[in-house]
Amino acid sequence: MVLLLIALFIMIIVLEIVPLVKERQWKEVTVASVLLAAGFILSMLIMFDIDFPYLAPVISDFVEKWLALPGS
Amino acid sequence: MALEKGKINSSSLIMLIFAFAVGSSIIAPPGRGAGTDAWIAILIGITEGLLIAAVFLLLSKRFPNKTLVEICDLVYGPYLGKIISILFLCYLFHLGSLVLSDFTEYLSSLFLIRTPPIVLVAAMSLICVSAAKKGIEVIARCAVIIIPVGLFFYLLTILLLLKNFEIKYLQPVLTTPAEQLLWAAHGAATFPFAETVAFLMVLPFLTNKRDAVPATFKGIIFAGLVLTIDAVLNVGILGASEKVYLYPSYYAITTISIAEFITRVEIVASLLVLGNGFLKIAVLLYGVSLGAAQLCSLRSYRPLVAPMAVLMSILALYNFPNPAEFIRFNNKIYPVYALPFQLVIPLLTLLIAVMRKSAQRDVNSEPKGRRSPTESRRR
Amino acid sequence: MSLFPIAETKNKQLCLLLMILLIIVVLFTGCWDWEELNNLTIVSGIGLDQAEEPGKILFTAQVIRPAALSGSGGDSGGTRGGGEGSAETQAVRVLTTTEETVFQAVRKLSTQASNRLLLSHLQVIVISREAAEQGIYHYIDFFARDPEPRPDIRVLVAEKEAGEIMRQPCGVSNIPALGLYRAVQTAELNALAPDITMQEANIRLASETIELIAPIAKLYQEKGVSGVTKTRIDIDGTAVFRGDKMVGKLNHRETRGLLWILGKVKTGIIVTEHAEGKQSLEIVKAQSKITPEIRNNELVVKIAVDVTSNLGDQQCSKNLTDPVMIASLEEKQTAEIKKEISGAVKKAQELKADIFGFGDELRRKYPEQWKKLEQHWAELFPGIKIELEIKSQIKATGALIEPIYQQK
Repeated sequence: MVLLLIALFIMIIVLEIVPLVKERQWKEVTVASVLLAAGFILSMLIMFDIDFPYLAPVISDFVEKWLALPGS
Repeated sequence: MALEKGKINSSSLIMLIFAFAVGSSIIAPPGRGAGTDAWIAILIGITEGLLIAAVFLLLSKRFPNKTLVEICDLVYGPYLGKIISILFLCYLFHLGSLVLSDFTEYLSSLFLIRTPPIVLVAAMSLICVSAAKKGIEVIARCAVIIIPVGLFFYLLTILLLLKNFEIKYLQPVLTTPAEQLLWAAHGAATFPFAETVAFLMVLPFLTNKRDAVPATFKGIIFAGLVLTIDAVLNVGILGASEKVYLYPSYYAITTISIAEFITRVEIVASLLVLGNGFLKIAVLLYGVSLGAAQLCSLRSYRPLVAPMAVLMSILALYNFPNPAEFIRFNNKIYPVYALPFQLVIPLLTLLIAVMRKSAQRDVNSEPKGRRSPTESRRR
Repeated sequence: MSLFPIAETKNKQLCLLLMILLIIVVLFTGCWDWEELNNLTIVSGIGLDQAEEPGKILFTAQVIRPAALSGSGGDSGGTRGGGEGSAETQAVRVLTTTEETVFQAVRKLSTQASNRLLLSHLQVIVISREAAEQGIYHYIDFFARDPEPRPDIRVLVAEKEAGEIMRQPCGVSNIPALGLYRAVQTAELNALAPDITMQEANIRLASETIELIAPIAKLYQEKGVSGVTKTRIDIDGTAVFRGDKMVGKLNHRETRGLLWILGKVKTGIIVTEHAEGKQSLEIVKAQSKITPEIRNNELVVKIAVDVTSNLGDQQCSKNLTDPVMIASLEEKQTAEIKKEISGAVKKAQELKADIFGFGDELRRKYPEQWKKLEQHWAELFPGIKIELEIKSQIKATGALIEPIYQQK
């Protein structure tokens, strides 16, 4: 699984970033690599069983805390 | 700085908006809070959705060739504008991941039970990446192909369902307390009708800007009607047990059994569901990537699509720990959470734009012109 | 530039790509969720009893043996179903286990079956009367929650042991559960028992007023071709539930009374006695309508039934096909239907189980008053008065216009 993911990321780098580097579009390279790096780090963390909090409950708790909800 | 050279015409915009609004709502039907009056809640929801749509359509009319990111830059200035754009893009991004996780959850709890969700997410986002990279024109053309086919099969299943339909389950009409009904209607408005606010990233690529308003309205109304029919069918078939199902539409369809010969057609009906999901995620992915590219003033949004999709997939896996949170979020939280993005940002931008009298100047004289003075000034 | 170079490449490359894709599609179909028929055991019916040990479930599954179904065709015909014939020629096997919960039992049995149990083709669930009296929900939640069982599974109550029902043949089908599945449908068609699918059971269980009903399956002895007595299954009568607990049963006349009110009578035979003999009237068309009314603090339900029937057979040798006789036959038929309906209502009121959906009808018609009635519905239901309005019509008399033999 980990290898598969790394392969996927390498594929994205080869297909997306390398052509940009060749064309010397540095700005694009920077933004894309930052995003990709974030994705890579996150997915590696998940792969190595680091638990992230689920997003929906966090938002739910936040909204419920700050707003008195009608209806429900 | 033409990031997108594609053009879409009004009929494909209708299809796209239809797909977008129906989207995952067939999976998680809106208005269920109103019980047997769900269809009334949806009808009210359409009205509210149209009002919210009117706000962002007015905004888009004032700046016909600009996406929301560019509009924010103009209206709020470079710094505040960027912050608001980022907020809006975060919403689109989160929405995309929500839709992705809706679909994964649907597939993995009903059809592909032992397949790891990550594979489903990856498969779905892969096609969406491919579509989003080709640009809005390709997504729109996909809609033109997918929607009629999917609708055909969906209408077919509706015909097959009519045998099991009992009108008495829908009666008595309008017994839900007004407050509950309106809350359900508001839920239906925010999910899915007002989510079309994402089209602020797409509307600038319409060939004829005058079609924006009628096409969006038609798409929303059309989608609303399909969802209303869906709600009527669910209650009419599942009766009192409708409220207990996680996926009532799916269970309604599994009851189809014509002479024990035409049975198990739920996969066919799921075609429309999957097609819509693909289009919705593709549009959102496209919108986020385009917005991010404009935000950083890149020359192309395409390199951002794949990394965005990776992030979106990861988030999709970390949205809901269980269906209970899914229901809580959808029924109680989302109608509040979505409002700032769906209504407040467009409305505020519109009001400030009107007050500051800023507008794109060359719009009505040359509707097809892509370069605008403001744009060239910024370059 | 692109992950998918379709648009940019020439035809040759496109062909190559398509071929690779095709190979991938063929080789990698459904990587995780593939199901080989060889690796599955198809369950056709499930019987649920209370186990000897308190709180446990005696779970009996009838599973299909595909090899026996396809091989050795037709030699022993209908006798191949459970219970008889050598083990190798039987189309089904019956597996039994005792577990805490239904799901646990399903998983436990997969080792006995040597494969995963597939519930997608489950036809019937039979619950023993004993278990049903303790509460049916104990057993059936799993079948609605799991995505595999279909909503058109038939739910039955066994008069005695449900496991025994799974072991005996029903009808002439190779697969007893399939025979049972058809038998229930035929029973409803002839207005002998209600045909309750999982779906309808769920609706009735979820509803606050309308109560669950289920057909009753019972065993009877039959003398076989060779004179050996064999046990067979028949459907007869209706189990009545209050909440999820079985509280009583309707006999077959009361069952038809129930089906008249539900508007589910399609055909059936009404026997009348007239002019020194009995007649069979075959129902060809029946319609019914319930209208509840609130009259000076009294709840009245009007039941209007509109029946058309044919004279199907007569025992006496009088000519019954003249208008006066037909009219009196119609009267007799009306009286018989009235008796059936009031019998059913009386029984249901004794059992305090609103199996007709009177409460739902009231809620539909008087949503405002219903809010007050709702809390006392259990006490109010037994006091409901019914008003019958039955229109009988005899349309045809078969191939004869008068009896062949007429007493002079």
